[in-house]
Amino acid sequence: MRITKRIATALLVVASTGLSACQGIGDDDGHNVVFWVSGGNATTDLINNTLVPMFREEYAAEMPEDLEITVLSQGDYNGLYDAVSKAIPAGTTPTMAVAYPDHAASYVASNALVDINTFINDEEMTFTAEEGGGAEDFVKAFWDEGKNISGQEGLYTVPLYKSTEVMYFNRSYFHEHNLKIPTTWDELIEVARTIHDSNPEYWDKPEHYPVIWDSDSNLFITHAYQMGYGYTDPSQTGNPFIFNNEGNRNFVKELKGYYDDHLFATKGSLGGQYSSSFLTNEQCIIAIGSTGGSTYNITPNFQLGIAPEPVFNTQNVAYIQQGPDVCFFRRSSETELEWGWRFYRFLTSTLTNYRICSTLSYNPVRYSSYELDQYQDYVSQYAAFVDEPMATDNEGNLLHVDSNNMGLQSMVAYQTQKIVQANQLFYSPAFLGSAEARGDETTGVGNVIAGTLTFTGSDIDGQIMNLMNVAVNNALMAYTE
Amino acid sequence: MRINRLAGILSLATMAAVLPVSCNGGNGNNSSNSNTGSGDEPELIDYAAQAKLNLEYEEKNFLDVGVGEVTVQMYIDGDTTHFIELDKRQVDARYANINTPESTADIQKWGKSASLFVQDKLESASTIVLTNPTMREEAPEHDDNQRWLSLIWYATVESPTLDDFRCLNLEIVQEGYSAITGMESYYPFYDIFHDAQKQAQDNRLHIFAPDTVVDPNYYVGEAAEISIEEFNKNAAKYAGKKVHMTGIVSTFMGVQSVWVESVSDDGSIWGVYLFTGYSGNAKPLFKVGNMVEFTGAVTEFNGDYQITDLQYNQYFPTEDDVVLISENNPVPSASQVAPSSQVLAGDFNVNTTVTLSDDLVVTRGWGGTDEIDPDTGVNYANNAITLWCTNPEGEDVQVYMPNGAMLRGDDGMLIHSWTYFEGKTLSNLHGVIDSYNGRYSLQLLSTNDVTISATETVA
Repeated sequence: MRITKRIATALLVVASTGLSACQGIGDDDGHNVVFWVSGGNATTDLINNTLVPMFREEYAAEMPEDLEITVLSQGDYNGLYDAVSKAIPAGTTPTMAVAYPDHAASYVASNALVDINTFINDEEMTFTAEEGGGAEDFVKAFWDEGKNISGQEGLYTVPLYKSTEVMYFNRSYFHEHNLKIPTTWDELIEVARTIHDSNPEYWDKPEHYPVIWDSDSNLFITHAYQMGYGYTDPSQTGNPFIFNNEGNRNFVKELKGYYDDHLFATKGSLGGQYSSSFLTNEQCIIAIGSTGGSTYNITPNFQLGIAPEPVFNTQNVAYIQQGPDVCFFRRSSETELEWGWRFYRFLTSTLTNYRICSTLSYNPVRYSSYELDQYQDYVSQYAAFVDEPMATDNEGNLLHVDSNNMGLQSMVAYQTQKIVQANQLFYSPAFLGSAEARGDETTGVGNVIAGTLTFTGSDIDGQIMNLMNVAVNNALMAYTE
Repeated sequence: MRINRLAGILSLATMAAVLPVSCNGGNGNNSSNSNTGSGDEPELIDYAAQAKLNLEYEEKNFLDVGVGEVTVQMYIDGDTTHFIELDKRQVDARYANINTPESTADIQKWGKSASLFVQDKLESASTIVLTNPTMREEAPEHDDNQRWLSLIWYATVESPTLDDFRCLNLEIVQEGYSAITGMESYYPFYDIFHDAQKQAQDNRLHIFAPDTVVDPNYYVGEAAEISIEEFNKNAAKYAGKKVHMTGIVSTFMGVQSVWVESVSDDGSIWGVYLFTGYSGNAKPLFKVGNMVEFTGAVTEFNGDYQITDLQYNQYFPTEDDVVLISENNPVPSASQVAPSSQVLAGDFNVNTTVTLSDDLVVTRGWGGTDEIDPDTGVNYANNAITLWCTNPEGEDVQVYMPNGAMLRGDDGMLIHSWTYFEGKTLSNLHGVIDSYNGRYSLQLLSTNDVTISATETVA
């Protein structure tokens, strides 16, 4: 089936009235759907070797014989962002790409993206009931994140699979030392101090910290959100980057003290190493990281536990939403866009999305996926270990998940389902400069934390203010470009 | 990257007409082209000749200043090589900004070819230099697996000048063995890498080739159905091919190492080592006593043959997936209880387990991350520990704890130095039999494999 004339016309109208005359579609009739993704070989292997053949088989009767589907990894999220940012002016964008809404904001500003409503509003191209139905079946917070990016009306990204953060912990250590699972930030630091003080010689070694939080930027943003200190506010058009405030600065200074006491570290302060390697090596006891990376924590050496990330404000419990969306680039042929969009629909159909997410340890984007019997079987298998992580047998021995924590993915899925059901996910608005404000452990607010923790000078307040100013200025530069 | 056919043809024609530079570069390096289409193959631009090493490297160490000369210690795959610096420190180098297909735990099309390409280039080198991908004299960064991100430069002439060096990372992209990954736009060779990648894509080299193009180093035939005994006796015959075997899981370490055993008709016990990578996906392999069927590739590592490329996905199953046949089977080698002299005599097959009936006393050893490597003057890079012990007969017995083995001391924390064992008695030893240079040894994998106690002195 060809893209309908209505869509083609709509897209061409957008192209001709858009910001950039050189952007458009239909200037050739390419038949190669190119999908840029992030992540390692596991993701590209799954898509290339399994999902593309399944898609081809399902649509064999309608698909042009010469249609190619090329899936290429562009490294991590930042590498992908950089590659797309370069491809836009060069005119070499793919058909579709994995994208964070933060990143998509700059693509929108370059007039490079298709308004996905164009597909959805076309009766021949929209979601089918067999796929799970339309927008109403997508988890609301996941779907809404792609709306009105940079304040522009339209839908520019749609969710592929999602994740949030949870607390992984050495359940065996907690049992042996009779520790209480922390639910708040204060309790977390209290537990960290108890662990440290039980064996200071061990915990004062380099790269040994009882608690490690992976994402410096997520830590900053989550704290600011829960405490109401403010992070970004796109309604403030002069300077929407409001994170350089006293509440946030005090928090960063507090972290510095815990880091110096060898209680707490972040991925950024550890040279970019993920907490999972420290947890499995017993160089930390509590690791707070993405649900998407849960399998990296698997170890046969002790029993693992899962719990919600400790909160800063019990009156405003909210966990950051992450994981990739997909966007579509206007500089593609009609055929490529049509089949790229169909491929997205296939990837997010109820059953397929459940299977992808269960394979890659992510969370489905459709309510109907969560309601599948298979998914409920999957998440309920080890639910008791999440609900009562310190349960023991009659003799006081800790109950084991299995010999080497192979049930971890299921436990994480169960915990995340509870968060989704409780509507406890949040995201920060995407607009020009928001990607730069977030940054990673070497830029943006992430660098404010990492650069403060590893600071060896005496003027900590000055260092924090300096890093805050750098982060604000870099974001403002992108905002005003 | 999107391939626009018309634009591709036009741009290629333009390139060939304007810049007819052959890929036979300055050092006589041949470029292969897997485009098997018309036979009218275009001349390709040798972008690798355009990137120049501009940092003096002599008497510098890469780990300190981001540039330095090295020699190869071990080839791993197409994007990882272990090198040794001038000061003897080991550098596990992860080639920056590329990601070739897999050829170790997983086997992917073009993976082995990429690995051989790298090995061929570095074996031809007279001098190899590593630099920080920023091309600044600054200490390098490592990835999550503690591998140092590097550009690898090599020259094939004796006493080379800086102009004689070629960037292997770039050459890999130019040959279509990898797409560019995670490259910062401020890196000095950003544009050259992207031009090289575009040329490889336009010419459909290797990973960019259509599915119909054959990788001669990638086995696509049926798996050979063999016994573990047959594998042990004729492993070389199956190297590079797929095999299908059945056995019982005898032990495992972490989520990357599994040993499987079976009993032959004559009652002999045979074992095989499976390298499963680091994902822990092949769940049926990680429970002792599971009888499993598995299909994998036979690969050679450090002179030993092993099984890799194990598949398992319960959500998208394939016919090559590991299959759980039954649980709670007795481990065949549980019957192998003997004094260490029998292990030394080769009475049991490698990759089976044994329980020693005698005690060993540790006399010396080396290793552990708390220890200083005498060759380099810095701490060992991983936690592998080797112990030399004596048995009651006065024979030397080697006990090895590979990196990843989890042995705890009295305080419950992991042991990070061989000296923890010094002079102590090891009892109730249970481990996997290994062999190196014809000498048999015992591998311990966890705290449960040994009882450690002070040695009683004889009055």
